[in-house]
Amino acid sequence: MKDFIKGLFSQNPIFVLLLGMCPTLAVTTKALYGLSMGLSVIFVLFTTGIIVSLIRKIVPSEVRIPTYIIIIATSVTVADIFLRANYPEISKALGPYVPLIVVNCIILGRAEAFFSRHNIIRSILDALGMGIGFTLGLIILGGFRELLANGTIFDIRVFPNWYPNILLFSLPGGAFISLGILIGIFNSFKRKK
Amino acid sequence: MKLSLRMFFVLTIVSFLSGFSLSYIWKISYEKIEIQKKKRIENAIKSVYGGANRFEDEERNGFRFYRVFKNENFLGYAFISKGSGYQGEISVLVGVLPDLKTLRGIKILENVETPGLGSKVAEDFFVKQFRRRRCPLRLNVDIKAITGATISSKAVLKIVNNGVKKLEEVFKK
Repeated sequence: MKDFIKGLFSQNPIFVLLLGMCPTLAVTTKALYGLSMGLSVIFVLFTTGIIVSLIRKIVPSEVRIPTYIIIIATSVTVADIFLRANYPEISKALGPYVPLIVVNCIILGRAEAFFSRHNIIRSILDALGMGIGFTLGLIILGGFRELLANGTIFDIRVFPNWYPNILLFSLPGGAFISLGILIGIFNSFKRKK
Repeated sequence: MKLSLRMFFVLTIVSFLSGFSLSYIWKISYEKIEIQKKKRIENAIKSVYGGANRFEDEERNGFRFYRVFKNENFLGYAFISKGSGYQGEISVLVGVLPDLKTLRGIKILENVETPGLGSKVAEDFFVKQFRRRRCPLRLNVDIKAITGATISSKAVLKIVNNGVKKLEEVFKK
């Protein structure tokens, strides 16, 4: 259970480890995009977690990185094809960031640091914890930016109509500012505990 | 087993399995992706031509366009025109009446313009201005530019004008 929980809070990939910042900043203009990106990452982490921990004893350590990359790339491509076939709108919105999950350091990082050293059950728990932690981070960041930039969350109006949309928050600069504010809030909560 | 041999085997098998599973998944999804693409274009045409229900696509001199029908009545042409915007590509579906000059309307299919500024080219108030206009369009005469997004507005105009010109040329020959 510890393996699952740590990804959510104490080792949250976005707010604590600061891993995978490229998609984090790029796709979180809306909460929905954050969620879909997060789900794709969960899928990739889950399948790589299973496969890497299953074959961890067969793969010689000299070629472990290329092997992981092939496995990750395969699973990312599957996720990409799935999105294109079933949710073309979301696939369009996420653009190149779905294929870019291949080089997302969370996944290679977990494969190297955790999946290749632990059994399958612990690897699955770790993968789900990290994936869900990442997804929550993306939804919070996406929701925050969408709220300030458009007055909506998941396209549902939250702020009244006279709210002046602060467009800065849907631009790249706003991504950095929002991430900074949220990490600050997250850390002040952590310190109180 | 010697280490180098083991490395060779593991990598070969992993790559082979990955290639095999990917080609299988592509094979079962390919059709669906094509259908989605077609559906997207047809829905866009329908939003430009209300009531359209039959499309014939045709390619002449490398230019691909659709003839749009409502039952047996020929409504006009539709095609996708692409060009560069302020950042990246904008792709526009253009509907042209049978005189090859007058627009039936347009719809922005894809754009990566600045959110909140240039991205407004996809919104109704801008797109509506193109209805029943005669090409070539002139900025701020036929179409009012979006404040703060002159380049994006110009880009859409240019893409539409170019597309209509190409369609005309196709029929001249």
